Amino acid sequence: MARMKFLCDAERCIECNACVTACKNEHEVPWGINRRRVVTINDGQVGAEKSMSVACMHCSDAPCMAVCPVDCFYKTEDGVVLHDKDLCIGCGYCFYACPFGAPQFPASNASAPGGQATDWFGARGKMDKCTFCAGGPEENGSEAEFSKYGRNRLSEGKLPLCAEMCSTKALLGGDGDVLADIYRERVTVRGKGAEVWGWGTAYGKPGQQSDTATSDK
Amino acid sequence: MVTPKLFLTTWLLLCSVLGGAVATAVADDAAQKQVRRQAEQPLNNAPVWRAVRYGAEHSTQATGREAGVLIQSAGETWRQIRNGPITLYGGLLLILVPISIGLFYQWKGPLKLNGHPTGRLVQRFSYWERLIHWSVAITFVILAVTGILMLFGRYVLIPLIGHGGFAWFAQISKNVHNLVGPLFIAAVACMFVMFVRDNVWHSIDWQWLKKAPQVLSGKTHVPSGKYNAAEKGWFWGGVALLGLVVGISGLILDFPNFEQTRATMQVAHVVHGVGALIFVAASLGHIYMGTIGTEGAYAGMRTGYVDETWAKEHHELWFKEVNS
Amino acid sequence: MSNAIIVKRILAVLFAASLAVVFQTGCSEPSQGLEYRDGRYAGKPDTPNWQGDAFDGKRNWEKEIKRRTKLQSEYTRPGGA
Ligand code: SF4
Ligand code: SF4
Repeated sequence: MARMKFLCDAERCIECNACVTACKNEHEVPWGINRRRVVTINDGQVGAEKSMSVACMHCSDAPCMAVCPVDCFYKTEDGVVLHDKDLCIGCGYCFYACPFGAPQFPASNASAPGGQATDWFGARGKMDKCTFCAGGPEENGSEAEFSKYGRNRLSEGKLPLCAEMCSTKALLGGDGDVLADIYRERVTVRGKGAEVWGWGTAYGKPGQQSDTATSDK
Repeated sequence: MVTPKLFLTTWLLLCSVLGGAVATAVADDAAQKQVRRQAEQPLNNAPVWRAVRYGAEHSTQATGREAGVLIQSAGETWRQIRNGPITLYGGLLLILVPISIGLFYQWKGPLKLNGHPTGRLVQRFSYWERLIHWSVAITFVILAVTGILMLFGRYVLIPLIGHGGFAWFAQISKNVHNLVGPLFIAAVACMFVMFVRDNVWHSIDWQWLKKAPQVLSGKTHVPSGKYNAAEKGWFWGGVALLGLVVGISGLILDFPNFEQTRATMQVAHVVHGVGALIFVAASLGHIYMGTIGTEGAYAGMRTGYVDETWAKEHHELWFKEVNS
Repeated sequence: MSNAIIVKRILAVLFAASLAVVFQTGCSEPSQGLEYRDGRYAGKPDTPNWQGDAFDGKRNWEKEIKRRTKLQSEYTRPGGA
């Protein structure tokens, strides 16, 4: 059974933001929302700069899922955390709880260009987040699914576009065991630096869940 | 065992708020550490990951609140507080308080007048006082019901009416709660101004308090002004204090348009939840005493008039004042 | 005190206790299991990825996903460097 995960390799990410662009384009994500973003730590400091591409990590013990008052999240057999926008009431609790800042709202991001007139009351629209390119409750590949959640690549046998198109292969997505193998091999070639950022938070300590991780950080 | 944990977690939440300020300074330091580490041990990024843990904003091309924060750990703490003690003890409070009030009612029954009603009425509340009281009361009940629905509906209503049905209720609840909240705050502010004069604490209130058990079981009456000690307690502790706490924390959550960070809203949510649950539980006591618990009290707030006997027995000093 | 009142009071206490127990168990966080039953994940409808025209069942879908995941390794990419 595949267990879907994301892995970002800080040694390789060059902050090209292609994953961000690809995601926005593939899913036609509304203004002000970035399902994926690249964060650069120690920007401009030679020898200390590191970039990370981050989106929903599809946690094993997902905080968003635990706090949602209408219980609109669900986890698929492949470990992908999805949500039903028809149920979401836009309370923002998932945004408070998520470690990675993944859930976002169309109207609350008033700082983004194109903020709407309703923004003054702080009303949030339906929550939007990364779906691991797996759509939502609607029929796989349907128009209704696309307009709410974006493309359903997983049902076409494809992986998330951000990972598949990453030119340096810093961002990997797919079956967690395979990713761990790929990364282990990479670390062996490099000889150092085995940390996989975010896996400890998202997937728990190795052995704690049914998931496996090479190492956690 | 749970209380120390609660304190600890609340403390951690507060720390995370303050932490933001410190984080920037720490981050600069971490950059220097990383430069050195990179030279000594290439590919060792430990200083970077440690810095990330402080939750500082780093640079990013993405717009949106806190987009530069790579990871925030306080969310998990908040989840444990909300889904743990707040839900559990809040729920128990909301079950046990009505049950104890019911048992008390069965045991003692309502406070009855000792004497006979004279049929002569005195005005206790003016039109404006009643208008304000009922504005506060109605908005309060709406907020309580919608708030309770959003905290406990997932556990109680979803099994009964399904996800779709409950989401419909919850959507309405959220919007009503957000709209009525500011109205409640306005009404409470008016109430404070209008009622504060008669709620100033006097030395005779201590006597009432000392004899409270006998008074509440109808054995005796202690003279009091327009409001007795319990009513004053409800005014200061409930309307004024809890009103302020719930009001401010509610506004922080209701208007997320001022770039509040998640840490701020997590703290506001915990404060709001705890305050509101205590508020609701305490209000049940007030509602009981004002309706079935005291003969003649409800008519007083409804029509504005009470019988002379009622006035003399419950609020003797006030009655004398009015009559003089 | 009449018997009826005593019985009533005992019932009330029992009721309170049972509510408390129901509450304690009912309000703990539900499990985040991945079971798929009757077209639903924990009450929410969805179609599994492998259901559809593109794949001939779960096995094939998983094989394809595994293959594509492996493609992300440039060391072993078939025909790649
Ligand atoms: S990363 Fe955030 S949104 Fe995604 S599953 Fe984890 S808590 Fe939920
Ligand atoms: S914003 Fe929507 S998805 Fe997020 S917790 Fe609230 S109802 Fe659930």
